[in-house]
Amino acid sequence: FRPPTSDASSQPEPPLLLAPSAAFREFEELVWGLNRNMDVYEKHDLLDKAMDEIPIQELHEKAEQLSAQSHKNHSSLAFEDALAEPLVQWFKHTYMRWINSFPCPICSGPTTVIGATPPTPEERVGRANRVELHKCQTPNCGGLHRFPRYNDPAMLMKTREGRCGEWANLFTLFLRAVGLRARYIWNREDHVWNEYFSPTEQRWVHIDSCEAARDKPTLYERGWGKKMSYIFAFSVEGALDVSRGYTLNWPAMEERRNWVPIDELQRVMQSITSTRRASLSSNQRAHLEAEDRVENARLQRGPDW
Amino acid sequence: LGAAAGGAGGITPQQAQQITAFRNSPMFTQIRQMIAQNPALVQPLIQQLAATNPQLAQVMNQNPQLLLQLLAGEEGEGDEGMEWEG
Ligand SMILES: [Zn+2]
Repeated sequence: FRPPTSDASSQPEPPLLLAPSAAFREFEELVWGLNRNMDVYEKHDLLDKAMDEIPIQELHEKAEQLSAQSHKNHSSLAFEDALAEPLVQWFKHTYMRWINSFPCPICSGPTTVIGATPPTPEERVGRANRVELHKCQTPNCGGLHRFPRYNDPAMLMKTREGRCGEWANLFTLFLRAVGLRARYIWNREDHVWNEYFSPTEQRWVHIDSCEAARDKPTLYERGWGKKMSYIFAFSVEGALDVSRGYTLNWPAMEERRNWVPIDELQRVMQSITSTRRASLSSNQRAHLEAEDRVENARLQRGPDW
Repeated sequence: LGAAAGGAGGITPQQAQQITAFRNSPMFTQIRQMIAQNPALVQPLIQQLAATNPQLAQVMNQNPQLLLQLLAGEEGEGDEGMEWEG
């Protein structure tokens, strides 16, 4: 909303005074939708199911080893960070399957994506909004594989496959299940990943389950050569524009940021955060606000490496 | 909106537009859901709203029935979940 003009004279209403632009609507719908989704990862039945999947004892043993090792070479990895490491390794290398394409269900030949189609009622149960169609390339075969893009973590624990959307979605739940505070990170240039909070380092740490990468925030810009514009973080405690934490060249990123005006962007993110925190005590809220101040100062400095 | 805007507060056209924008915003959907689950959150939510939307909060405070009327309005579209690429 734009602030109303203070001119009280009864002129005809200025048209579209408060009508948001299409770009702003798109932005607002996106971030509120991503925010709303964060409640999913707090559901006890889902967290219980996740704990049935995660080999927690094995991961704890690995975490102890890692932590002990790190103390020997004075890099001192705290337990939570030492736990996130084997969790992400296990998730990528043992648990999940990355999907690029499927073999033809009839002749096992290669397929290509020919488009998307609406989900069936069964696919809707797994919260798929869209189904990719993969068609056989062999002449006259006609084989077709449906790839529903499920959003329900319970369904993803059954299929255990997908691309970064499915991976980051389920990994958010697994971070929560092992007791870490978790964020879902959305990037406008078609990627999603996570962050978890390190209580020892008192900061949010980048973690990408598709890459089994932890604390490598410059992976995308330097490693992949990506030119990113907007990177947003969502947790049960609010939403934040964390773009600066992922670039070593903020002026160049800022040039690319022409989606919505920065003050409107900040206001929406702040509204999400305020709404999220409305049910907290003033002590809890003050604690989170202190964390925000530390993080905002850190974001101003950009990533450490 | 007619009933809401015609309430006791004497709402200006700008404020009416503001209320309509709020009524159609995803924030309103969220607030409605939260209050449906926990009615005690009405006041804290208005307070939080004031931090980022002072004008809107002012309208709400001048018209205590307004938010309740908005909340009692017809149900919005269902949540279809999100779509992520990658
Ligand atoms: Zn075939």
